[in-house]
Amino acid sequence: MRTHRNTGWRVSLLVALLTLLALVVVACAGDTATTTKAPDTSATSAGTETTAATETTAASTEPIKIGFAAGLTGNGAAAGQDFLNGVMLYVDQVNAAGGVLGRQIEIVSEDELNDPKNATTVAQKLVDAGVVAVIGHLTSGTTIPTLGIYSAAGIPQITPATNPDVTAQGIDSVFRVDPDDFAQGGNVGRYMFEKQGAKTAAIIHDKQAFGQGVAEQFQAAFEEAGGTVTSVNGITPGDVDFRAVLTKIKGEAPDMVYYGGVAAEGGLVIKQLRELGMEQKFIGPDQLFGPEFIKIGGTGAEGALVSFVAPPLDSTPELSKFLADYKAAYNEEPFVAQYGYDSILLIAEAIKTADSTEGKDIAAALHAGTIKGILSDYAFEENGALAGGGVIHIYEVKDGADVWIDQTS
Amino acid sequence: MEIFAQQLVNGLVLGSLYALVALGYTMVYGLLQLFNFAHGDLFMAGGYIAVFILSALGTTLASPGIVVFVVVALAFLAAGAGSALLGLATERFAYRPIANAPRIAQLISVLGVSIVLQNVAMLVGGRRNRVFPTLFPEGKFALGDVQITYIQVFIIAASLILMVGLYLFVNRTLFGKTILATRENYDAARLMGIDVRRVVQLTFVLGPALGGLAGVMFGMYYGTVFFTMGFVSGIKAFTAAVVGGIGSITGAMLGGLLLGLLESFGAGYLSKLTGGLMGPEYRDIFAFAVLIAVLVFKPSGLLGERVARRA
Repeated sequence: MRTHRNTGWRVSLLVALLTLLALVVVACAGDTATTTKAPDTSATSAGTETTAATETTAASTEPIKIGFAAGLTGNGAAAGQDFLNGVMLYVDQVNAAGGVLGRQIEIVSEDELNDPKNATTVAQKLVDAGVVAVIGHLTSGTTIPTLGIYSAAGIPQITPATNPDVTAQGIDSVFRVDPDDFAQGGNVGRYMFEKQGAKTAAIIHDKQAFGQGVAEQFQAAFEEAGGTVTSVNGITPGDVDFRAVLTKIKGEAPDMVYYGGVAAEGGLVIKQLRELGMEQKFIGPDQLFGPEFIKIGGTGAEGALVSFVAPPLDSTPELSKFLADYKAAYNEEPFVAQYGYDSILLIAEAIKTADSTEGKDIAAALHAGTIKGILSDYAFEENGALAGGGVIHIYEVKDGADVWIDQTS
Repeated sequence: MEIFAQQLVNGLVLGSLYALVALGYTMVYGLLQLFNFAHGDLFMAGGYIAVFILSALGTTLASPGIVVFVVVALAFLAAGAGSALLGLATERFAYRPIANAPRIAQLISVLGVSIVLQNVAMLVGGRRNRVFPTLFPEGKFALGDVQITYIQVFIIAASLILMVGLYLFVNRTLFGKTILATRENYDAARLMGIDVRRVVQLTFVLGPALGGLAGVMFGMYYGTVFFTMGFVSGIKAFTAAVVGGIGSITGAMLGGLLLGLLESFGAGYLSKLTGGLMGPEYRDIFAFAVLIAVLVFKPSGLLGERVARRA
């Protein structure tokens, strides 16, 4: 309904001007966002940033920006933070020695809270920040959605995400630095049947890309080796009470329980499993490696088995040195940081070999030769998978720590 | 049969926790027709207060029994009192100033309180799940094939005592009866000389106190607390309260227990019932489908009362 004096246009004009002003302010502020933005503390945001070195003014000695994305807060944050620490250890060492091609490395890090919904937003942010390569993301669920974004922008991506789909998309600029789920789930399936004598297994997974993926690989290998799977059960991440599912499994009386998922739920599963008086063997994938699973599982975690892609940190001189440096810098034991270290090492070495910071040159250099890292010599297949399959290491939780007991191939 | 019994125990414990939280929702709604969004977060606050105190004191099960007992009792008291205080503050600052405003304004106000509480918990307690120290004896005993942990017994017993206590308070004491009277007719109660403001405050104290205690029990049972734990539990508990009959205290208890049992049996038997089509992950869908069915056939809830509307 219109009044006779139509003053609505003044309000509209004011709103339009204010909006325009706001846009101008945001656009100007946006240029300095990577180095001056304060940490965002609302419960739903997904970005915090750190820089490894101060910026210099001359263009040819400007820092090389490398992106980093993982879940740094929320569930799985322990792994994400550890991963970042590994990257920063290398960066601090290299920058102190003069940097790469005479330029300092600057890490632009983003936190996606280990949530696939945030991963794409964060990926776009990193692309817009002008990074030349990206380390991330840490888990399969958050990595797969970002593959297209980085590849379209010509940015090579190095990730430890183990789901086979990561290297099955026909992208030639993604590189995986560890064995994939075929190995983790598959090797373990065979191992549990042959070496641990488990004839029947119940499977629990969290319906996410990583958890379900590795559980399916386990099932396929376990059944192929001759075992029987009594049931496959899904749980929801974020849930805390799994007693009902576990009681149901108790009724099936399997020899072992396989859990595909992350430590937050995994710890609760093993805790409640033991509280229900179930004594089955229990094994889970690499996300259960490290202190979080042990802390949440409490006394229930004792005796649980964890498959992990990395060998123990005292098994080679390079790893021992890394362990010592890491403890000196961060005052705690690393568990996935070695992959962060090698990821940034690969990028730095590729930049040196290619003598360029162009994405396609870095990718070409990574495909071309073998680069020696602290964990192994890295050579990549066409699709970015680690050449030569993989050895999976089995650890057992003893006295509150992961102790190496075996390896499979 | 043992599996059924085990699922029954699981369900009772879960249901007891839901029931305790549902009581807070039903009391506030019965009196003010307000869905107190913040109540779930008061449950979470109780858990967090306990975690802070227990972490600060650093007691472990290795200490002498009497010390552990005192420390745990202290944690419970602090959580209950803390949540009660937060509830009181909610009433004073988020409800009373707009007590006569349209319902929607009050709803937004408590929603705001909920968001504030969650964010404060996140800022103070960190974004990650916090580990709740193990301070309850970890043993269990077996009834046949059914394993019952001491803490499960404790939760069922404590919840029962609290619920019976609340019921007696509301129905047998004078103060409790003023709550019933005010719920029946706010203005008439005022005219009869009842201090309705006190009644409202009491409602905002009793419910959250129980919720806070439930939060501590949750932390002890699952060994973890996280700043979003009030959200999902809150919605489930509120639904349980509605199914039991919103406004009815016994209804909330019944609804909570029912929901716990439905979730437990749902997860345990769904794949058998559906021939493998739906697995345990459909547990929430199953539980809520049943709750919806109850409401379709009996909209006022299982024990629903006809509460006179406020003029």
